[in-house]
Amino acid sequence: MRKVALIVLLLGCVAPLALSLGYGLMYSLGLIGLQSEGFTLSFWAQLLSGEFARSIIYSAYVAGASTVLALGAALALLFSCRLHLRRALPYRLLFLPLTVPPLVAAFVVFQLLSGGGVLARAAWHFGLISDTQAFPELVHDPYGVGIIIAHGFLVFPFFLLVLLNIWDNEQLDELGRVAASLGVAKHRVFARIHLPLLMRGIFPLLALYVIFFMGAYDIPLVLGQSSPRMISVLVLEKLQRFNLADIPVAYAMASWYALLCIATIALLFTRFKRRYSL
Amino acid sequence: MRWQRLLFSIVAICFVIPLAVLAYLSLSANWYFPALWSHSFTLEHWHWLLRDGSPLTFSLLLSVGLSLSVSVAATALGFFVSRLLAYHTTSTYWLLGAYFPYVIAPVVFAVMLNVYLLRLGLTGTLGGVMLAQLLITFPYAILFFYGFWNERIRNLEHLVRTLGGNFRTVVTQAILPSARGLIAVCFFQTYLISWFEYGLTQFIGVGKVPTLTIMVFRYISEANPHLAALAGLLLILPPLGLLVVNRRFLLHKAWSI
Amino acid sequence: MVTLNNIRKAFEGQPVLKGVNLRVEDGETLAVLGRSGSGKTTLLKVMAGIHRAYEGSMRVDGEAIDHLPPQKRGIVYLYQDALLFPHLTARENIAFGLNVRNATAIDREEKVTQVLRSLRLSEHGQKYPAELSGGQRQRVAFGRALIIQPAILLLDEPFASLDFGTRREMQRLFKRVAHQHAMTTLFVTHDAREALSVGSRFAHMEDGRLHVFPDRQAFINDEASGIRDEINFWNEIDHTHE
Repeated sequence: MRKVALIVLLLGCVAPLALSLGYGLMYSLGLIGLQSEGFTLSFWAQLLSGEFARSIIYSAYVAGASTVLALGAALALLFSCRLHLRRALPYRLLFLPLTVPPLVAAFVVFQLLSGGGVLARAAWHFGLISDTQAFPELVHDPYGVGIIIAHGFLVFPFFLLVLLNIWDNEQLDELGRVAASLGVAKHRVFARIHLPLLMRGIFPLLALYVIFFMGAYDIPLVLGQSSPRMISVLVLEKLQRFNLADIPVAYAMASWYALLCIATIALLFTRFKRRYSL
Repeated sequence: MRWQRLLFSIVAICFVIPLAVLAYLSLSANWYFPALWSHSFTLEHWHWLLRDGSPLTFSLLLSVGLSLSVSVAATALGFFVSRLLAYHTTSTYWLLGAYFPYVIAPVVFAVMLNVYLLRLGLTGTLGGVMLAQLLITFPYAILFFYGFWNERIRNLEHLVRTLGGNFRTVVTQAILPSARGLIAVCFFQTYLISWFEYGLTQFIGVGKVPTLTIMVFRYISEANPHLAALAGLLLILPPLGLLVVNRRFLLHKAWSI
Repeated sequence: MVTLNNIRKAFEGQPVLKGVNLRVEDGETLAVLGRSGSGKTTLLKVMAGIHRAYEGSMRVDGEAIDHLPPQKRGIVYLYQDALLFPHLTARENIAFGLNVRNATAIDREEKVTQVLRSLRLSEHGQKYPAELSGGQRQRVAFGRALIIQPAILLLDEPFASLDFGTRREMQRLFKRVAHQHAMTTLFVTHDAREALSVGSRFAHMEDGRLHVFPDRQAFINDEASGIRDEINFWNEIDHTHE
């Protein structure tokens, strides 16, 4: 039965990925493809030319900022409104953003934050701006503000739900009281007891979300600028261009990004396996 | 407590805004800058939706059918494969095999997978999109169920065996009654992953499998915010229903971000 | 009668059972005392057919059962956790084994009523496991095994999670019911007093080996049982207070 288990896992999960990755790598090394002229590292070399590296750095920045925003908002709300969040209606409301698909969230953020959006109209009515150009760039902007806000909106309630769960499971109220009885000042209980335990509990999830945000597609597609683009958008754009020479570069990008994800998750898994009983 | 309520009220308003914006847009007409509410309203978009042969109605039915098939298959496969893995392998390192497709962006996975689907004649077909979505929901279901197969369930299975039950009895009397709630949660979560999916569906389906998310993007590209909002509302309504029935169903990982 | 001949079992090269020989006569209760990790649970799982790959042979009433799957051995294994089916009432839980064997409705009802009565559960038959106390749940689990009249009933520290009072009550009930139904049982425990209370014959398990004592006195006198130590301890306490 062990063999059957492993065969199904290999066939259903590992093989499709391995085959895909294998194809991507071979294409990017010039071994296959429409314009294949034999083994070459030139497409890989093009990755170093800047576009790919810029995209990876930009994706990492957006992923990091989105995670920090979502976590910061969740922590702030947890510490300011914890008792209120225990009530039935507020608790239920936290689930509301989870009903919104990323693509729709991106569309709504665009309708709210773009130059012709709801906020800009409100600003015009209050006499703050005279035309759409005067409104600050919040979508299609170089800092990815719109993308980060959309990510934060979708994920921060989920982080908050997880933090509330950790708070109960780890009995943080009780531990705080124990710390206080041992002489820790009330205002330091947060920094010395609550925050480290919450972070320890939520860390694997944060790591996963950084990876998810890095590979985000729907939201950057609607709200992102034209350069640099986030990695998923860039790969697809390269692949769907009419320039045939771009296709092996797109495969090189996809393969290296996939390898990066695999290496990261393997590292996280082995490093934190015991600590987080993964 | 009063300022807590005030702060949370502001957050709650932020939560409701997307729905309000979508509803407002779906009922608006000629909503140009700088008008906030001094413009015309119409039921025309909704009438259009309910008309015979509306493309959005077709997309709605297509999305429901696609997501139902994907979630049923992923849940059933994930349930039994996770059992095999949990019972017959000693190392959790095998689970990494399920984590890999789980963490790679679906659209990047689709890019590299497409050649095989193309050779199988599945690109641009409903079957191809279904298979591609299954390849990301199946590992999710494995990871979801893996923790369920603990010592207690194993003992329960053994007990049913020693009481004379065969595998069918074990499944119907021991496993399913214990796993019913989890199966429902996994079913709805995989349903939502499929329901929310855009990039992979667009790439594998090459626009020929017009699910609701594809329609939302199509209307956005056509600069038709009213129909995009209408399609967006149709996407949100089923998960909203789940929120009323059982909110646990919504706690899926944000797959298609 | 159940006989075990030179049973050996290893996990990943580590021997856990090192040649267990055993003979349990019909109607007797063999109490097996042993510390955790001594191989008690493995022995029961091998007997029940849950662990299949082992060396040696097992017979029930002279017939070899080594090739039989758990559901065909007629050996029921009860865990410390009652493991009742949460979706079935106490009555339905007890009837489970009969349903699996396609017993007729009349036969089933009659037997279940009888078992409920003998376990003093008559007024709890329609309750679901969540509505029962810990002791009641164990009684239902016991009834569920009892009703199919297994060749041998294996009990793996069944009362370990109960409070002291309920535990004593369950031990008395077990003895009465086992006697009443002439049950053949193997009762594993790490509590010497419980072993003495329920057993009609005694054995001690240590490091994968089983030592069966010829009689109660030999069990008490044996150092490994720890009973001498306990008696000495109480004597010392008595002297301190005198």
